[in-house]
Amino acid sequence: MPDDLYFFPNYNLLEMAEFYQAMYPNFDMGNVKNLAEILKLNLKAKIKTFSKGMKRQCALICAISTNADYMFFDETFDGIDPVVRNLLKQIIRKQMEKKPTTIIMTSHNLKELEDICDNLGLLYKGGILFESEINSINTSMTKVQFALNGETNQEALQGLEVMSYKKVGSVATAIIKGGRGSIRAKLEALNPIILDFLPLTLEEVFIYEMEVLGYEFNQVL
Amino acid sequence: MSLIKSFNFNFLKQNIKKSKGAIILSLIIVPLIISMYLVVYGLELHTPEVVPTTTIGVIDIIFMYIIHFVYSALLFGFVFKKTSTDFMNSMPINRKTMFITNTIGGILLITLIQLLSGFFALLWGAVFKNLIIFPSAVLDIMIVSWISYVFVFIASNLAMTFSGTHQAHFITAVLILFLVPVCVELIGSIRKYETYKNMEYNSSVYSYGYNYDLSIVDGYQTTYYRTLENIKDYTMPFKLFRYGLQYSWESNLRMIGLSILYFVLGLKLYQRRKMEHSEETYESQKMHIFVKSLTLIPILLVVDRMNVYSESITGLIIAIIFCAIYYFIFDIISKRKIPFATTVASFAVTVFVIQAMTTFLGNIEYRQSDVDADDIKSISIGKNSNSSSLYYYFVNDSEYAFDGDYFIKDNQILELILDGRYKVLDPTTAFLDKGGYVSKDIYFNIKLKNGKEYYIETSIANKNYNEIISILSRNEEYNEHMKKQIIKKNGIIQIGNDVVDNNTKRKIEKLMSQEDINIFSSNTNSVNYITKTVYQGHKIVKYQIPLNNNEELLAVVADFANKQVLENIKGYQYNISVDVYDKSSSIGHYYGDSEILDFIELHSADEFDSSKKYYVLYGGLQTRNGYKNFVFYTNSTKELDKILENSTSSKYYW
Repeated sequence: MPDDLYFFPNYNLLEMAEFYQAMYPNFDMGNVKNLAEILKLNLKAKIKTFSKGMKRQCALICAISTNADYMFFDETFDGIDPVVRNLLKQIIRKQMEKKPTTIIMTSHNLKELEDICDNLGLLYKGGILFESEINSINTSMTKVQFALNGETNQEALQGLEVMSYKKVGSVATAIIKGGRGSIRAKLEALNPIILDFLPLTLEEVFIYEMEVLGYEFNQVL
Repeated sequence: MSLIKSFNFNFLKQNIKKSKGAIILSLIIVPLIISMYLVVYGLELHTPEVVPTTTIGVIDIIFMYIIHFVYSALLFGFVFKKTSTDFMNSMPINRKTMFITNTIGGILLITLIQLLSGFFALLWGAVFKNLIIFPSAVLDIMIVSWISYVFVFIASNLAMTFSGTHQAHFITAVLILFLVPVCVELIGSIRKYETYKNMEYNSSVYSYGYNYDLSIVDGYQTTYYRTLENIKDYTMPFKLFRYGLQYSWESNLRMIGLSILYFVLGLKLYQRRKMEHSEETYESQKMHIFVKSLTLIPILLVVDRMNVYSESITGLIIAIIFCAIYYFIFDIISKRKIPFATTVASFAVTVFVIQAMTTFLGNIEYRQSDVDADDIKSISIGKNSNSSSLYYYFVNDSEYAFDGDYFIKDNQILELILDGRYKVLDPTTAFLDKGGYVSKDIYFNIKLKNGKEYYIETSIANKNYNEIISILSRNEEYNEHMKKQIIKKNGIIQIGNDVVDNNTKRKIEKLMSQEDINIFSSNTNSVNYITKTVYQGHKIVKYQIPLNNNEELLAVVADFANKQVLENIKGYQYNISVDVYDKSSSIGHYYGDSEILDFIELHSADEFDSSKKYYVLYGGLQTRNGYKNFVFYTNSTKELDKILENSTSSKYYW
């Protein structure tokens, strides 16, 4: 399912589904009808009359119903409201429960992938910059907020692999490579006034990985 | 087997379905327009007429240039748009299957068009009794059209494989189809081939007159001719420009061979096609410039042929500016930005290369020589104009086909043809010869002993022409050959304009096979003949068989004609025009009121005796059902003489 969707001119969803059916031997036409009903899409209305979000829903319904072993989704939830987005995620999950399917999703909006993906890869200039299981990202990277009794500075983090360090007032926020255990031990030894471990979002992982590569627009501007 | 394995019917069905409206229209438009054309043609006919193959095939000719682009664009059009090409290529179907399926699909659609067109042509032939369409002619048109359509479609698919836009696709396809033959033609006209002086093409003798003849004698280089091999070899799309839809195995085989080659090449290129270059003319800038330069070749050759360079320096400058403007406009239309310096450089190189090439070819020395009868292996003759009263001597009616079937090897005839040609070209005799209507326009096809073959449209002195006829009429081998041709084919037999019924036809054919029929007549002013029209040798051929020396045949013919005559004169409205002949020559012309019709009505039931003195009446009259012709045979010659003598209005004797 591409970012730039394509439907045959003047086709409705049913006709598009028939095209997919002719191409994919395991295509499930019943699923199309079922999902169209759930998403309240008129099967016989011309797709060109649909909104951007509805067109994306049509494409997703057709793609899911192919029952292919591998599916590629590009900017899957672009233009879709949060309610339908959650519904589509459920549909995708259900599909994966129904049949072992590998789904690869690409998106610039990483938030929408957090709760659905098992693995994450960061693409940069045509190559994979970073690749990890979502769960292990939390164990391999730690976001910590702390304030020391005296002056808080980065020297306190010596010996740790700091990927990002920012200080606002006397409170510093750092992203450090490594698990919580070793970082907590190191910082607690400094008797901090504040020591909080914050959840790390995929966007932050992406941004800090990019910063490591010198991909910092903040500094440019 | 590989082709069948790679054919995906589901994909084809869906691919056709998405453009079903346009495809249905394309399927019905050719048969529909053929039907409309034949219906109008049929409604306008008041007398039976054999429909020439070019008339049946005329719609095919027009659509040959349209259908292939339509199908290529409908079946492969997705490659010219990024979103659609991404979408189609994301489907679980490989490119090989996609290409083969679409190609076979296009061919199937073309087959359907031809079958429908053929069916409707035959249908309207059956509906309108005056519309005579030979099934074998329809079959030939279907075969030629099918091969041509498939060839153009496959060439168009090949063009698609390396084009990124519809415009680029169109230009590339046109180049594939026409560049080579157009260049051969244009370069051929610049280049001075080996020339045989007395066989040069010279159809303009009449219109240019005496001075032009002198210029021919002074410099043969200015005249223009071509060889038959080239004509036959050309692929149909180009051949159509010059010669219409003609059946030629050389052309068909070339199209089949090229279709296979283009298909294989297209498949390979399609598999390697960089789909991301959709919406750009060609994959690379170099390719774009190369194609653009190729399109400039025919333009430059035409400019060269017009001799604008030699006229003046202004002509040269205008020509270069014209070509340069075209060269820049090409980029604007194709929306491709090419650096100015690159455009100028490529333009200069193209102009230089083409000029060098044409100069080189133009300066090749050629051998100019006379041809002797001994150099000629054989000659066949066709007739040039249907207005000639000598119509029936040359059995191949060149209105439909220009080359004859029978090659004459008689040295005396060959000498007469060459001598007749010399006389027309000779400025001392040509003027008189032509001014007095004593030369004949003919087509002939000459095979030389050195293997060369020429098709020539020319005129020869009338005296020589008549001598040739006289020799042929005595030539047993030729007579035997013609008789075989006449008897073995079915076709139709006409007396005047009337097509004889099956019973009469059988009787005539039986007599023709039994009798020693002399197919020549020494008299040129008689209408006392029957016409047999057949479709043979992939063309419509008319045989005219004189009746003046065939009494039994004449009796059968007269019996049919006299029964038919009352039907033909029914509904008489205005004046009647009648030519009267005896056994072999004209007696008079009658133009007047219904007096002669009363005579016909009175004697139509008379027993006709072909051994006695008789007159043949060949008339035309306006009836309520349109203009009709009739033929009437009578032994009441004295009574008719009296009518002719008493008739004062517009009557004259020859």
